[in-house]
Amino acid sequence: MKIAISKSVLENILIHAQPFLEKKDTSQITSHIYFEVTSNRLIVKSTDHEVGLIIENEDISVTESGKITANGKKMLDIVRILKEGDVILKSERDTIHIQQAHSNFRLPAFNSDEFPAFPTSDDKPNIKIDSHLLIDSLKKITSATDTNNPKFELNGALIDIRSDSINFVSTDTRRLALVHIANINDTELALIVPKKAIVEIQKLFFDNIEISYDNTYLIIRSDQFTFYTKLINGKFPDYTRIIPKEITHTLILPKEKMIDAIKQITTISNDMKLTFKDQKILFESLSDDNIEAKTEIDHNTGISSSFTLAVNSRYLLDFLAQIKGIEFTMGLNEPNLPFTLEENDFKTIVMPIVI
Amino acid sequence: MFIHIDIDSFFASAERSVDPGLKNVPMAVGSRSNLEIFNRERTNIRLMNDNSGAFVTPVFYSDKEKSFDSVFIDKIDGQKKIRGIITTASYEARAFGVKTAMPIAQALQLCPQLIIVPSHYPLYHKLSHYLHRFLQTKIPLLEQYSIDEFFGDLSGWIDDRDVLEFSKRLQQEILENFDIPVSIGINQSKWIAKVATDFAKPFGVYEVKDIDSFLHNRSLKEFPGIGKGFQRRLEGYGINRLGEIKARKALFYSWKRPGIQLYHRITGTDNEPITSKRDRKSIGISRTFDALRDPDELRRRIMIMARHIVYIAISIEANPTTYYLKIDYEYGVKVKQSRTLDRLFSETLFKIELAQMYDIIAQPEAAALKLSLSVSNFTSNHLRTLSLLHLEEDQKRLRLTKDLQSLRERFGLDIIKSGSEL
Repeated sequence: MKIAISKSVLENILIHAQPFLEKKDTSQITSHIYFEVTSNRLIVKSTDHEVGLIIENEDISVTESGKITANGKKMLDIVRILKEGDVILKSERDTIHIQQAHSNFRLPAFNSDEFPAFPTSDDKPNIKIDSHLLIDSLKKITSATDTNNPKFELNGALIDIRSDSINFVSTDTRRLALVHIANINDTELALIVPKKAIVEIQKLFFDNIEISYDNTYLIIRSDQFTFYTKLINGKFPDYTRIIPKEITHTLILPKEKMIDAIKQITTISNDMKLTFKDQKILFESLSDDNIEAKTEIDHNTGISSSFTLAVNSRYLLDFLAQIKGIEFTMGLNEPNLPFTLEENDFKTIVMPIVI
Repeated sequence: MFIHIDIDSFFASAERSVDPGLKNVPMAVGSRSNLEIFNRERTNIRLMNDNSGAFVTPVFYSDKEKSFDSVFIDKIDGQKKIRGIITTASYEARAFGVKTAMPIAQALQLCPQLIIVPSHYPLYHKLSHYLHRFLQTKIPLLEQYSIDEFFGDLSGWIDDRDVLEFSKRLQQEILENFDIPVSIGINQSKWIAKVATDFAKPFGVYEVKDIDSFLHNRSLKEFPGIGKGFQRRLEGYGINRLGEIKARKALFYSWKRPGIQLYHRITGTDNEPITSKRDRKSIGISRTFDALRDPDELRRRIMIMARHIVYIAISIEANPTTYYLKIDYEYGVKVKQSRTLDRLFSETLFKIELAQMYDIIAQPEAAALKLSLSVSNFTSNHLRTLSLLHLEEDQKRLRLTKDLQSLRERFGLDIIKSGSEL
């Protein structure tokens, strides 16, 4: 294999490939990036067995086709310090040479035939969904996804595909985020997508994507990228039971004012007490030390008797960071019971702190 | 000025207050591990929780009358065997060498005329509670430190020069009202006052005027908080007397917080106030029993102890989130496990988790000698968000637990048990 490729294009490819590499164990082939050149096309693959990415590029000049692997992190380190202009990639037996002008770098390669195979999207059902809507929905629920939960299914987001809608759901057991979109689908299926995949999808794709899936994989294709993730095998909690069926107090609240007030309190403590009075909302820090923050906003809540609840402010701020409008809806039942935050099709159910 | 009040050989004195025939003779209170809770037949067990502070271990008692033979004599293959240990010995008995924690059989060898009374914890709790109430009328700032110890802060109430006189009068009043002898120590610092009480015993009042000369020749173990291990460590540094500590400030400071705290306590510079209300941080029960090789019976006993823990937790409206189980097996093998669940506490949940913990740590071949269970990390002390996912289920379980609680409050703790306890 021998090609010439512009430094910036190569660097960009390598940067995209990084999150998919095995980083700790450099003896694994998955710590390497796979390069393949056929006719006029460069195909780059990177995977850690759980998620994988294929990047295709035709912006190269080919002297000799072939394939090779190289340590992905080292390769990026090398390309980064090169100058603008073309870089030559050349395979020579079990090594790869990265050359530019008088500089020559050599890295060992693994047997490229042993690089893990990628799942194909052939014969897999498609989800027909607007790309923006998909990315936007995943973005909204990302922060509520758990990490390192011994129940693996909570370390991912549920994509619940129904005949007439798709629900995107995630929970860290303290709160649950849900985006509901109307969508006509041929197949009904519930997929649990790992958090890492959700984060990467948001970085890679913008529009014109094709999504296919089966019981094990979710595959997303665009002109430039093919992304796959293994799905989490497990049973996601029945989220429909967690959504309160009835709401006693429904409040329409101003986003910016609420964010300002909450952020003032968070300088003292993340846990806070909210008291809803008829004409105002009080915010108070909840901290052990002899230290206190208090503020209030004027608002007609419609709650004649006072209603107090305590909550971890992060759950409120995570929700507020994801909404675009100037107002949102808060649904309260009892101080010790879950409450809802809602804007259009995006809903978060939050468990208060029992005080 | 602080005073420290300590009842002289409390359990023995309590028995004497209800049975004057026990006065002026060598006598002791003995006890055996209270295994009544494991009985299969109903004994109408209730919780003694008047002293709801942090200082008392919970006592479960039944309405059965106890005699010496029924409590301390086991008949094994027709042979009578005396079991149990001395809990408290009167001063007359101590003269024969009878000590706390000594096996009863050994105590009877040392002092054959020794009268041993089975312990009556409900009586001691009641007395302690009444004495606390009485002292509250005499001392504005009062701390109950243990079942038989109290700290009082008299500053601004009694002039420093009159504290000795006040204490002597108080000692007399307690004797007249309760027929209970107490000793009282007096000093500017709480902990020195406590050491002074031990010096004053029995039935004495002692004021420490000069801390240095008072501690000069006292042994290390006389100070509260210096145990055997710590004593050896200090001896390793050439410290053998309490009086030698004041000059070793740098050494104690190198041990960070606990060392610094102890240094100030010993030098009387701790400035620690009275803590009149101490929040309970955990609930624990342990039981020691004869070697038990039956894993199913062991599991049954865990479930029984679990019911008792739940009863206390619900009665003080605590929601513990950390559960702990420890089993002592023979030959010093100890296994333990704890887990923390941010969920609503209920009998059902606690028992499910305990069963799993037991399965993990159990040693089916070994004989068990002791079980310890505890719960801690109350949500009232550490704010946290409980699990949203289990809320509905946990609420149902808690409702059930509370319903059971009201039955148990009325008819005794063993009115209703779960299947795992049978």
